[in-house]
Amino acid sequence: MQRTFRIFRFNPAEDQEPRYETFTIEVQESWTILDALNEIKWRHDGTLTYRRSCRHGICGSCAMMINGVNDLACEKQVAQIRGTITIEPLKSFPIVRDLLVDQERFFENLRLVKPWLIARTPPPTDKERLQSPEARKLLDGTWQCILCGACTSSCPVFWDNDNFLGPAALLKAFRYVADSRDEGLDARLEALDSKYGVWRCHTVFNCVEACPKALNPTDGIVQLRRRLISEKL
Amino acid sequence: MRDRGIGSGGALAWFFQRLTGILLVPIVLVHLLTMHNWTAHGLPWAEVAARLSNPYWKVLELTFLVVALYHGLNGLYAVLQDYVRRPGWRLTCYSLVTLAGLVLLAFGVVTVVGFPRAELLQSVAQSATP
Ligand code: FES
Repeated sequence: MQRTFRIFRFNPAEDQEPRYETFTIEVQESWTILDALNEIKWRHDGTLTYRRSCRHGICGSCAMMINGVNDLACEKQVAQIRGTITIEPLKSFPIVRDLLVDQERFFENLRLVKPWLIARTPPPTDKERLQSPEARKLLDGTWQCILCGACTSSCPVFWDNDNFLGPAALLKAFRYVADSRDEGLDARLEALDSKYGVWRCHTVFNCVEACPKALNPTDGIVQLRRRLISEKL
Repeated sequence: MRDRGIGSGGALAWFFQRLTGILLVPIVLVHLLTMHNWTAHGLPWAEVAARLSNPYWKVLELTFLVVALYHGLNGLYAVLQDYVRRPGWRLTCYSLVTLAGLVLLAFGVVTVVGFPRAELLQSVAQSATP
């Protein structure tokens, strides 16, 4: 089966302007977008640049914009899309080359929310910090984030506001704030309760649509807001 | 150094935006049904005058004034914050929005409290008596 791919190309060292290059290649029924990219890179044009690692949707390396929608190249099937498939890098990150973007801002935002367990209470000496099954259940829908950046790069507030933390960092913050063992809300307040924290979100819900793991960052943000407001009142 | 927007968090602005939003639903309905009466007989001056000489209606319209102004201008400022990045320009926007709010509030209060003109003193006296 022949399929046509229209791929964003840009090499800042040589090109003035980005351009689109079209490849028509033979694909197999079961291929993912990543398989097709590999085929192009390995057999047609070795200079095509993109990031991937695990090729089964767990490392979060291969998020890109596929026909205008952010997704993981290694999870999206070629057969799910009709006609020409346009592949572009994630929006709003500086382009290193072709589909490869510099996600430094994304990870810096993540560090600002202190994405680790903060507990002042010393751990029990004879066992681990335990958590009831119910309390553990509350964290479902938060811990599955693979930090691919699909949500954050789909967020119009993030496109436009250089300082907004973005849905991924906020969902990650919620993952810890909602954890029964965590005592770090105060330490995270500076980042969360700021102009660029939870209050900047305009509930556009693009992040919910973009998440390849079907998580709901908007819900996490709204729950964080509730928590902050009840903390204040 | 990255601007982290510390300080003016926006929690209260967000909270009051929701609160005023909820309040606006019934108030706007009542306001529309009474003041923008599109039924056959139109909106006679006498009817408005009669209603607004009642202190309860005045309180309702004043609440509407404050709540709608806050909701609208706070929303406008939230939108402006998305587009205006320089702190100096932000402060300018904030000042202009606040000033607009105060001026419109003054106009509104004068209109609602002082309407109908001839009965101004009487209605003030009415609403002052417990
Ligand atoms: S390659 Fe790891 S998530 Fe796609």
